[in-house]
Amino acid sequence: MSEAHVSDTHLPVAHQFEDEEQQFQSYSLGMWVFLAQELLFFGGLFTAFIVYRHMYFDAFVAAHHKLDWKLGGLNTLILLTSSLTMALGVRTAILNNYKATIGWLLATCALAFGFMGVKYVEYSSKIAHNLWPAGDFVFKQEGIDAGGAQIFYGLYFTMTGLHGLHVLVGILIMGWLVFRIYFKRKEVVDYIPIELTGLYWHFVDLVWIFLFPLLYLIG
Amino acid sequence: MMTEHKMPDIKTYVIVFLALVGLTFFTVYSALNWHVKLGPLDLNIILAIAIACTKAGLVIAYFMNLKNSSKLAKTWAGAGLFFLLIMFVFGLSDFVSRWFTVEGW
Repeated sequence: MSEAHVSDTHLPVAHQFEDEEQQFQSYSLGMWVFLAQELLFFGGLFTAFIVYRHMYFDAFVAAHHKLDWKLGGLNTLILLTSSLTMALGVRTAILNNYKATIGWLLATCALAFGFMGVKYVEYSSKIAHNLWPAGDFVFKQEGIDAGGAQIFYGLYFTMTGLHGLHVLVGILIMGWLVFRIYFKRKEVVDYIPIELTGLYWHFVDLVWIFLFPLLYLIG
Repeated sequence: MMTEHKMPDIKTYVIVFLALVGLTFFTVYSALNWHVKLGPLDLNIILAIAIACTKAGLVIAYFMNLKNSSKLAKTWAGAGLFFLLIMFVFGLSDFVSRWFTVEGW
């Protein structure tokens, strides 16, 4: 696996920075710091999941069988593909080929909408089957504690809901980037917002990589 | 001033993507078909988490290009992981030790 060397990007340097390199490092650092706290934000929910899975093991296993792993798997493939299109979008932006960047960003957006569409199908089927934990929750199975299953669905909706919110925010940011590149092309000589959005989007993918096996496959 | 910007080429991205897809199919297959237990340990969940960690590593190293990022960015990524582990280990050690009983207390 080789790497392409890209030099000579010539970004405008804001007055608070020494040079382009320092400016890039500062922006990039800010994003990594943000992602580190995002990791802890989701980490709290994962900790709760581990604790409750331990307390209500049988209920969690029984409850997770009602989730459709095929839809979860489809969403995994959609998000992985969107990560690829995003990575290619960032690459074209760094190479100063903004026309291609618009295409890749729109492709990523379309995949994100596809992800939300699958989520919509899943959520409505769960709610139709009385598995919305805040409503008339019904879970009848021999020897299974319905309360434990309710906690599983509470965590399921919280974790995937928070993740879905991140996907929606990602769609908004990508839409803004496309708008900015398309209408203000001459002023956009700066790939950094696209690169940072890419980091955010890969993080969203990363969270789903853990959510999918924990919720859909193992329970 | 020029910035030296290293990033993976398209072929690398595609290979990483195919590896991620392959690992997704593997995790689904193993979770549905294998029921391996080692004493009280359920190896399925360990395998599933190991696969997820491998996938996460690929995404972070190549898609997020941490491989070619500055030492500062790597340190912060490591710090995020470190504090996540503190949350898991300290949080769970509190949780599991609540049921410990000590004679004479």
